[in-house]
Amino acid sequence: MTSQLGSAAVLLALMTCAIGAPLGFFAGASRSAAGLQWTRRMSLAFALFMILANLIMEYALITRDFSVSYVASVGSLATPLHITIVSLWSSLEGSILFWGLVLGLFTASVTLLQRRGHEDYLAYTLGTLFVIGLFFSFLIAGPANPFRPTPAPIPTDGPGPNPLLQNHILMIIHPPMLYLGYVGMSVPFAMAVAALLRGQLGASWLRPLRNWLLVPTSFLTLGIMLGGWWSYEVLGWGGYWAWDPVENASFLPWLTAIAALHSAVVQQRRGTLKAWTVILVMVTFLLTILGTFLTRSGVVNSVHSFTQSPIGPLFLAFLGFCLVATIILLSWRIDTLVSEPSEDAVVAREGAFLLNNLLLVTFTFTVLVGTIFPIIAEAVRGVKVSVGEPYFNRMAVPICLGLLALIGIGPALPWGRADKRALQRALVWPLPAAIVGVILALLAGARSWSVLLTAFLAGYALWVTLDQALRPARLRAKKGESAGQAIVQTFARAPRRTGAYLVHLGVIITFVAIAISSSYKENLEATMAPGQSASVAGYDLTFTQLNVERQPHLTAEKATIQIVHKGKDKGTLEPRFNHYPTQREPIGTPAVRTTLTHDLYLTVMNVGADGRIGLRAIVTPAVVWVWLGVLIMVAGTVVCLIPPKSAPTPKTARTAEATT
Amino acid sequence: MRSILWTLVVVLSLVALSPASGQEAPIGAANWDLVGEPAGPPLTGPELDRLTEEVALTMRCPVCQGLSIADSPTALAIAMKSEVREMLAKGYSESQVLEYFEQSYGEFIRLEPKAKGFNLLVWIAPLAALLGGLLFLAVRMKRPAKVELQEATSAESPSQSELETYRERVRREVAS
Repeated sequence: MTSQLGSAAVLLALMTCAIGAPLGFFAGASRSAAGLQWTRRMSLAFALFMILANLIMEYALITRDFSVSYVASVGSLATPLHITIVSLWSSLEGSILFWGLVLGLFTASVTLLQRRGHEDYLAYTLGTLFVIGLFFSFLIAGPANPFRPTPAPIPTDGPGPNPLLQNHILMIIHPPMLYLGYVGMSVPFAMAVAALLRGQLGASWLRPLRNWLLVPTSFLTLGIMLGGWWSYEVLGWGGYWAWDPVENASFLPWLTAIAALHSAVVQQRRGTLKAWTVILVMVTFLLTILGTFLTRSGVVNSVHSFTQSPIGPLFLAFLGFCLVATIILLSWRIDTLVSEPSEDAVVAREGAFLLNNLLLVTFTFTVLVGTIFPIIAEAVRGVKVSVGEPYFNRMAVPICLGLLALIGIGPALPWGRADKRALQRALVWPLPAAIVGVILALLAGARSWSVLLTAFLAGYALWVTLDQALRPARLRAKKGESAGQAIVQTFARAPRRTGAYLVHLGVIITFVAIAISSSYKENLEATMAPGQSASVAGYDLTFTQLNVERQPHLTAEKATIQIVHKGKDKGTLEPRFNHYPTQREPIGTPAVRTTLTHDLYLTVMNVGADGRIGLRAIVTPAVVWVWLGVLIMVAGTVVCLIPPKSAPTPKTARTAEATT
Repeated sequence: MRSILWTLVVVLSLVALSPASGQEAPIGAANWDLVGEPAGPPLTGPELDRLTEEVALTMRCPVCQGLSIADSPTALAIAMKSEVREMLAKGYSESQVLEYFEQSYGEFIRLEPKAKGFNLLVWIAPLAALLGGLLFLAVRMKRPAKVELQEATSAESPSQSELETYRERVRREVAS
């Protein structure tokens, strides 16, 4: 019964897309108000049916209705409730269904939030979203149908979800964030398609487009960070980023989205780079589809990947379709997006933006080539090759240093024409901060050139960022406003500007934390019997006991390690070794002691029959600042979305603001 | 293929666990001369630790998902790492060690593809993209910039122009 209800909801969603897509394009082309009205209604119906389908699946999961094929494949009586709920996205079919939900919610949000204005853009936008929705509804209704009835006899229990999913709370929030980022990129794509079909991309459409790009970028940033954090807390190798193909797949659209957000700033200021912004937005969407294809098809080797499935070729076909459609649309309409004539010359600040875009695109290209090269090499040479961490690090470090340099130099440069002496002063002024950065790094014991260079650029960038962020406030204070009022006013009048510098601050912190944490790791591997001790980086670790803990869905061997840091007792950590009855290989869960300066990371690598354990201890400095830096970035993007408090504006501007 | 790997796991684990390893030539050492005589003098102490870590980071753990043998906690990776250490201790160079493991596991073992033949593509393509982009920007930016920059140098005194820039910024900020 549940199977039929779920399938019915999905089919209805498929139908709304099938009607909505041509309707949207028709309404866009004929500028029909009634057509748009019906397209909007369709988008709400689409969201409604997707919500319904997901609720039905959740109901089946919670009631452990094994007659539904998806529940039979991921459910089990022993799995705790909260894990049962999130197992909606623990496996391929469920995750595609969840994708449909997110797409439905985004489509409905466009309808609900863009209530006024932009009529002729909106119909095309929704029409494009329906085309994407059509593909995903088709996947859910057909090849990846999670509601298929289980063939008789219906089992009384199931295997439960992937044990890696059950190991950590982060797995509950990491995938939805990533999905919100991934799926959300469909909206700016659809808006770019609308701009191309309308043959116009003015300031009034650019503003909502940028906001709709900012929202998924913000989720994607959080999702990528949570993914790294999850891999750090769960996988037990002590790192947070391995340039794994799936990590790369989430990183690629993030890079192009960041590039697009920057080129949109140039477009807003100077009316140039319109076509370029549109291309970046469209490429971002294509990369999310490519990433999904790589993750779901099993063509690449990865810790995060789903099992091989028949939907790989379908994704490839959809990617091909989107790519061809994008290329045709671009070559046909791109000439309509001409730059507005600008009096100013191409000078300093714009140059920095162009370099930023060049570096980000080169970065994207490098990661893309590195990720798919093993596939190409195997096809061309018939030899399996690897492109891994050392390659990506070698390429990424100079690019990231370049980006860090631009975070420093770019905002220091004035827009438009600049007096040469003022330019020089602006660039020389932050140098002492850079030197302070190097001195601090030297005092902390850094000797490698890459860390020292990072410290130099970070010091420079930090000065410029703070100086620029507070500059309007200083000016206000000069005019006689109180310091507090000046800062509040600066923030309220220009949240986007404040948010942007907050993002830069987060980037600087993250870069420095990555440089430090990847350069100064201390490692210990020891086989210990109960009562034995080992030391690493000021820590004395004593293995006191091994306990066996039995829960319904797993058996855990828990090692208790007494921690003494520089003579002070710091309690105990309990790294675990989990055995799941449904899985052959045991999975270790590390235990981490996080401080503001460093992390102590303990994993049990094996448990001997004699009760001895193989323990691995890693002391990594500054790891927590990687997460904090990214959280500051996310906070910054949220600030950017706050509508500015401003004086009365012309009508067009106001309608645009209503959308933010 | 899989069964060969598992045999290797067993053999290498035995190598690693045998008490003699590290001192006398272990069982697997018979094959080391496949890559010739050690290229350098024997290594010990912190120098050996550092180099072992460095080489291990560039080798892929054959039974994991893209982790290096330095990071991987699997038994095979640990055994391989200790063999790397023994080879380096004997004086084999980094390239000899990689060559040796490549003969058993294929090119797959190198996390950084050899810059040779078709693989050059993965090294050159990003550089080509960067240079191409720079060239494109240089050509585009050169044209209109010249005239106006000259004009710009004869502006008012720096302090005033700076103040003007601030004012302009505040005005824009208010307008945005």
